[in-house]
Amino acid sequence: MTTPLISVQNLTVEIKTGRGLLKAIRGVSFDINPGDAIGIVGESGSGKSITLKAILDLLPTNARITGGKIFINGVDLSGLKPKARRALLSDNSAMIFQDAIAALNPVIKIGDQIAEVPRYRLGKSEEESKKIALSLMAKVGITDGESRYDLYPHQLSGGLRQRVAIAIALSGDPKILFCDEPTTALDVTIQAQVLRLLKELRENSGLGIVFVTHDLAVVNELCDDIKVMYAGRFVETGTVENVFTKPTHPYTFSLLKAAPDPDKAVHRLFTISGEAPNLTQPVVACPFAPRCFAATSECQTSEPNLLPMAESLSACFHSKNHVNWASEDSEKSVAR
Amino acid sequence: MKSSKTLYVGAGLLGFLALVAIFAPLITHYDPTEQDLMNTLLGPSIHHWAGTDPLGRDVFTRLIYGARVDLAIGLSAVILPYIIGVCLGLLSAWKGGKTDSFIMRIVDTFLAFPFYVLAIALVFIFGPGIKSIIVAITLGGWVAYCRIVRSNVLVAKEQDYIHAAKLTGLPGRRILFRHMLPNVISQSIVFAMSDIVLSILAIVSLGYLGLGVPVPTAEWGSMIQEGQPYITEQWWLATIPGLMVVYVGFSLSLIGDGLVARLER
Amino acid sequence: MFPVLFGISVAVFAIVHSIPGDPADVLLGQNATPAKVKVINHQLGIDRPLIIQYFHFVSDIFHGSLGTSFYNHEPVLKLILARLPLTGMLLTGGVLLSIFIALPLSILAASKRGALRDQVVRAIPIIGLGMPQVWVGVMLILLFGLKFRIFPVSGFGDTFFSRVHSIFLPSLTIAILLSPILIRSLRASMLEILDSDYVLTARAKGISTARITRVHVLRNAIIASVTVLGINIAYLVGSMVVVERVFAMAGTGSLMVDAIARRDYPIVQGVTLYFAFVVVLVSLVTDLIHAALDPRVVLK
Repeated sequence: MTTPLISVQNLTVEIKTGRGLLKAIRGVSFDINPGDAIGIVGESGSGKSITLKAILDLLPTNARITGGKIFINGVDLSGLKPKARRALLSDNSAMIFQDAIAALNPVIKIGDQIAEVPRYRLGKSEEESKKIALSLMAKVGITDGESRYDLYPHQLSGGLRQRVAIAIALSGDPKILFCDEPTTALDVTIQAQVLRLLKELRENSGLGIVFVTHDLAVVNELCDDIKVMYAGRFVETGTVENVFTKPTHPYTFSLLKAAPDPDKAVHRLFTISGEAPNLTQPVVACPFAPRCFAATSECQTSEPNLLPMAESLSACFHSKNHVNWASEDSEKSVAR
Repeated sequence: MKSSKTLYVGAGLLGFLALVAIFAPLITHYDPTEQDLMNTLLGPSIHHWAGTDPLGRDVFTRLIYGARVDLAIGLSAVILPYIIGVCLGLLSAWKGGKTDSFIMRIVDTFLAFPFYVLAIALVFIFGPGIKSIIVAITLGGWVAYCRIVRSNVLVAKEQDYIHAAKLTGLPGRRILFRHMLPNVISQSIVFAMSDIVLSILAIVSLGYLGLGVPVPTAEWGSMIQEGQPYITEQWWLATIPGLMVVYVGFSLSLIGDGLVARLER
Repeated sequence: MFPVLFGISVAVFAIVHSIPGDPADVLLGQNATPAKVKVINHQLGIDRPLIIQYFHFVSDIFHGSLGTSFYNHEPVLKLILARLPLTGMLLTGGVLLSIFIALPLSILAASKRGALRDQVVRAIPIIGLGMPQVWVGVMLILLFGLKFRIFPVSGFGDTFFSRVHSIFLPSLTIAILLSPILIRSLRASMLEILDSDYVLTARAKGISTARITRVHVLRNAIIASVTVLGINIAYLVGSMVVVERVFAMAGTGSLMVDAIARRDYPIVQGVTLYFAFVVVLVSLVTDLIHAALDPRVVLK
């Protein structure tokens, strides 16, 4: 077996808040191999963005990794000094952000921002760096690179900005691309273009992609595997096909129901009522139980573990009943 | 549109005074320190536009030569605190942790010393003169820049473009000076405009106390002090030097306001 | 607060020890001989290591001793305390007067944004911030002391009333310096309050403008003034040194300026330390007042 590009094992992260220590991530594990694309899905506050920040050593000062290991190409990050860690991370990975305008430096020309890594990290000459930047611009679909080279971020449209951000991310020739909701701020047609671009990159150059989002449709479009995150843990993982057709966790089931279905003409938006649990308190029961349609008294006894169910993994005491949920839940909805 | 007007009017007013100061020898043929004890305390006339002082020196000449001293020291005195403050502010916020708390304790200590008390104590060490003024303004002034830049950096540090730059693995120096600095510098430049006013006020006050630029050099503060005893009869002796300072303060305020409006756009 | 006090003591110690020349030379003047210098240095403890000297210096402060003046051999602490009432009254008078000036003007300006009165009030800081302290003092003397002869132009009376009377002009000088700073931030914070949702809510409920101003705006404005005053306390205290000089008043600032002329370094050291202490104390008091006025602030 080959070494995965990245391997996260039982990662935990705590954040110091005014109301106490918040256990934002409570044991998260996954591997990425070349060409893999996984989607991490969850509500805001579920810990999906913190997971990315923890891996990329970008945690705010009030947060820290309290357990677990992260390996890049088999090298343990925790054993490295900050400088070496940063070097290993930037040699292998890159990230694109939700809001491209915030991720681009407002006072530097876009061409110079793209040429920066070849010039200052890889030590290429000025002309060579510019050439690389222009070819990257072409690669991410920015036409007329020569004339756009000297523009500033605010002079570009949202879609172009995100392309610039992707070009910058690719400038260090990464093996893994982390994406923090990069399509959320874009309108639907631009969103589709950016997704197509990411798909091409993955197919043509074997780029591994970790895609964090709350948009299930995007995951369906781009990813092979999906990890559903709730209250700092994965509650269901599996292939996109299996999870989307046969959800084995009530939370996934509700999310899928809540998502607007692009195939149907009527877009009905269900929301899951209730709030996510307070993670400054110890978790003694299933954290989803208060919002769950299938919850019973058993769910109050302990927190369920992630166990095989059908073709997926699910952390629910009632996952074996998943085949009946569609009828059960619709009855309940009618009763309400 | 209006903001640029404010900026240009301010710059124009200050520039005019600077030109007058630079070409002072062409504008007046008197020597600012030459005494004429036969013609003391004269009123304004065609020969002496603003009269003469108790030692018979031409007041108009002393005013424009005073502009040389006060403007030159006032402007140059903020350069050093600006550089020190900006660098320490960057360092403090960028490094964080122990470095940050160490620098902030030093800042707190300096904040506890009233500027004039510090300045007077320093004059005690070095003796009156330009050197003491510069050292005092530097020691008293860097703190404000440090705090401004530090808080701006703390905000910018959590911005995605800094995260993005870090992720690409660029050298720390490059991120700090190319990505961070241009984005956090503007507020400190605006503050520098009002800081120049503060440093000119300090020069004037120290001059008044006899702890500033040594006599007989023409300087607005010592001119106010020399004019005070004659305030009932020759009221302009003490009044006009003060108005010169107000003029400089006014033009720098306009420049500062114009810059703010321009940066907010 | 402790690190700040420690920093202050180190800074003052450093200032005093950077003074060129031997204190013995100052003390002995013409009579200095190497033997006598040695004796004096031993008496003053200057021949001991710096760290030991620093500990003596700090322990003396804790025992309430700031040394004795070289000039008239009086204890420095006593000299400072004798001048404390004047400095205290000046500070209080200046702060009160500046609030009396700044608060109504800011309300006037903020109540009708962009109107003529707002423009006029906004011009005050632009001009006021460029006025030299000494010059304002001299102008007030010219106007009120000599032209209209309402107030004394120097000295400090004996009875409470005559004292208040005699500190009026110096206090007004301080107030004129402080008001522009206050007006600038007060006007901004009041505009913010007037635009806030809770004031809109109050308006929608049909509460009168006068009451909105009194209840919502004023309270917040006073909180804002306290904060602004706290930030500018060092500037304020420093300006008093200069203002005392203009009005020939024997306050702590004058004590320091006089001591410099006589190279009386225990006094310079003592007054510097004292001023730094006052600033720290006043900042603490403003924090307490702020916490008392603003329920959102919790003291740590």
